[in-house]
Amino acid sequence: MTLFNCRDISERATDYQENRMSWRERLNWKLHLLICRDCQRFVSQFLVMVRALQRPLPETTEKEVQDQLRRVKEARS
Amino acid sequence: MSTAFETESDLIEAMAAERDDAFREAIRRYQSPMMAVAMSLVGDKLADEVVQEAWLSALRAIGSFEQRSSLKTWLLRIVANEGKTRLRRENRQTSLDAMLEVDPYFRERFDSTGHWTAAPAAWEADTPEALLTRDELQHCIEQTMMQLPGLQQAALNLRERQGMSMKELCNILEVSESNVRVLLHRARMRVFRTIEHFETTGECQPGE
Ligand SMILES: [Zn+2]
Repeated sequence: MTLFNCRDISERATDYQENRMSWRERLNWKLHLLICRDCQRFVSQFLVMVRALQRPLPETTEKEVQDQLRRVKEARS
Repeated sequence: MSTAFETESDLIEAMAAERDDAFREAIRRYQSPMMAVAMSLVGDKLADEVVQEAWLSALRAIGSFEQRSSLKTWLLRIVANEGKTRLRRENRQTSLDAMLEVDPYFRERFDSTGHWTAAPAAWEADTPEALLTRDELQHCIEQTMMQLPGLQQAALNLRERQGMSMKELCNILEVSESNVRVLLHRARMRVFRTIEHFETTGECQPGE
């Protein structure tokens, strides 16, 4: 097993965050983070960013519903 | 909230029976996600038309929808298809391969041994809340997302803002699971780059 370097960490951050790593890869990941402060910072900021991006979409407004319904009905009549 | 359709199957059946209240309810539930996918793929100006086409196709096909996915996933897949067709017709499509490539910027952030050439800068905003409360940065992140290649943008929107699973993303965008992971990762790394730039310079650089 070749050890992860910093580039690998940056390339695999989504796989880590999405839980898409084998236990071997996870171990490899942890070993690198243990010794690398730069990657510790990168990963923690990456995870903060992902959480910040997780905002629900706005609900469809009543006006948008009516407009779309009207357009659909017009096109179908 | 409508209580008329207790299950999704009820709603689908009523749509197939061409009931107005069912169309209205489906639009209420799914217009916003459908617009989000359309805007990601074709941009703001054409999104209306793409969504209109998608509704018409969906209502034509609803009778033969076998419910192997959720109604939402099925509708979003139709939107994505309409969007892609539109891009193809207008010769605006970007190749999938190009959208999977590493940002050249990040290629230079590592030396030949794979170490950071410049260490990641520390962000002042170190919680999600702190990132979100700064209007200028928030605006800059949104601009960055709007400039991402279509499929990256759609993947990011579906995953982060709509909470769809990776499997659903594959189904909707019709790309393999490994490619979905890469699309999502490239999109996130581009946003990361924007935040880092903003944190170190105070300036917004959302594009290439
Ligand atoms: Zn490292």
